[in-house]
Amino acid sequence: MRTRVGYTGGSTPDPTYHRLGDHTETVQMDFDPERISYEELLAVFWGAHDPRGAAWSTQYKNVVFVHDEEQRVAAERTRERMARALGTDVRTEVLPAGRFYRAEGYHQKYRLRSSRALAAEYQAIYPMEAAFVDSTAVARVNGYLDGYGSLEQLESEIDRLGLSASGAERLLEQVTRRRR
Amino acid sequence: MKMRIGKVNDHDRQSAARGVPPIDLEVPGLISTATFALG
Repeated sequence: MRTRVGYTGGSTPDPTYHRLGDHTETVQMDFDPERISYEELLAVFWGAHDPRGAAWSTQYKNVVFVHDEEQRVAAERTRERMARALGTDVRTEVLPAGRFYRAEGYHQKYRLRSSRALAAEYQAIYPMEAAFVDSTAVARVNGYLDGYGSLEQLESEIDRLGLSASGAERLLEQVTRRRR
Repeated sequence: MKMRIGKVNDHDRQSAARGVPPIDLEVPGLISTATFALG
């Protein structure tokens, strides 16, 4: 799983955080459908927000940006199911995915960046910003640091995350502390 | 929107030599992209 945050959905050319225009803040992921299905990702998406709420703004709203017909059908189906379950209108939108603009580096892997020693280890392996952001190990560590995944999961894969012995120890310590 | 990406090649082997996390060298057969906004 690779992840990145960025801006999409609008027409403003080359948006930035401070000049977003009519774009929306989004997260984009590349995934292996043999390991996790699009439907499973949709389930996480629907479980992560209240779809009845009105959008705060174009910058902050709830949207599934679909990349093909198959995704559109799956997204619409789950949207209808959600509306039936809630018995009310769902305001979360389903829109076609357009051009995606990567957000500035300081927005990417935000949680990991605040753990400087761990971030430095990965930046030494991936001096290029795009490679650092696209690393699946970096995505996983960023998620663990933000409270996702279990300690058991982390322990089972920590040797494959590319960290030094002290880095691995630091990560385990930070994740354990967070889960107490 | 799916694309097939290659198997482990020389580039990947060189990457392994410079400390690239093993988990980054696991090459999936198929990649899809998903995009979500959570306001």
